[in-house]
Amino acid sequence: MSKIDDLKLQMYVDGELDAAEIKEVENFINSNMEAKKLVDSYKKINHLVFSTYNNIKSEDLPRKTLDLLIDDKPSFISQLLNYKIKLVPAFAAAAAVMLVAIFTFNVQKDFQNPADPNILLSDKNQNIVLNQLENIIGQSQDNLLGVVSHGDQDIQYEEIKSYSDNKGRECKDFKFSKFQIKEVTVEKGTFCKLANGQWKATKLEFLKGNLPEL
Amino acid sequence: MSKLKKELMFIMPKLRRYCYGLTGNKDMGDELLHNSIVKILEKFKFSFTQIENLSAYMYRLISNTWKDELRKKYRSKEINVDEVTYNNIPDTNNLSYDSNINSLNEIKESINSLSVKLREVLMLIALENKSYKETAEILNIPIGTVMSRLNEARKKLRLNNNTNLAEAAHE
Repeated sequence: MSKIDDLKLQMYVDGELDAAEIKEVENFINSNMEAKKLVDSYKKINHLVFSTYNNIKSEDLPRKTLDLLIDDKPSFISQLLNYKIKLVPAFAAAAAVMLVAIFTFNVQKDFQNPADPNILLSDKNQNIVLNQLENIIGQSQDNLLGVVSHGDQDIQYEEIKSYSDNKGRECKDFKFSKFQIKEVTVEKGTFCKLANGQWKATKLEFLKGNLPEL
Repeated sequence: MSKLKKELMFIMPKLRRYCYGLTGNKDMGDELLHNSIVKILEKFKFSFTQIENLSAYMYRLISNTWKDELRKKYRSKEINVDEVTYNNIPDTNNLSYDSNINSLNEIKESINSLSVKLREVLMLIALENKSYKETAEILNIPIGTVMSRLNEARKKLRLNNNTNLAEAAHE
């Protein structure tokens, strides 16, 4: 076996030779019993290895390994899409909770401040009411009693005193009802006639809190 | 299901057969297959890189995973797992053979007498029908080494159990 050695016979068995080489090897083994036996033994080994371990192919694939390949975890986007439907009731519930919270907060706020929000005046509206009163006083006589309307609210006023102050100005004190500025109720007010002939509010007395600067 | 998983599913029966051939035991083979698939899925979890030849990649991964597992069994990094024969692998003495056919069991015993490096070459060529070139690429060794290892494996099988092989071939 000088020309065709053992390795070449194995290459022949394993299909590693081209057509010319196959023919050459086949001619050789036909004339050499020892080589033929070797080739047969190599073929048998291949066949036995194959038939011994190939039978597993007919068996069911292992479940846990299949699960690795089948249980595909969804991507982040698909997870988001899948959860979209679930998010709707979640958002609805959150919105409902927020509505309840806002409602509760307002009720609590009203409870803590029971004054009617409609008669609470801002600083700006307070000046409007005072201007109305100043005009009324300027155009009217003594013992004034009436109502100043502003928006939906009626502010009742009643003159309780007319006098001259220490500066020699003509002044009038008024008592109010339902005259509320923000969170305090104006109980009394003093209006004095200035040098230019206009009446101005010079002092407001509140049920509580500080006097505003006029 | 990702493309990688689809391809793995497609080649899984072949990979499983190789794992069985490599370990010599169905349960160990299935465990090896599972661990190898876990490894590749973990490695390419966040990667869109296309694996050029998944089949070859997996054969190599399985071989390397098996050697890693053998190292763990020996609890030593000093051991050359290529030279380990299956009859001496710790914790495997109580493994039962799957077939009731005695002659096949004897053949399995003969194959178990081969070292890892001879066995993986024999399995890739005789069981997986890979060419010498493909085997060399999978195992990252020269073709000449493939041929010499294959020759050595066959010679050992013939010497170990010449009679049984001949008998089993006729069954």
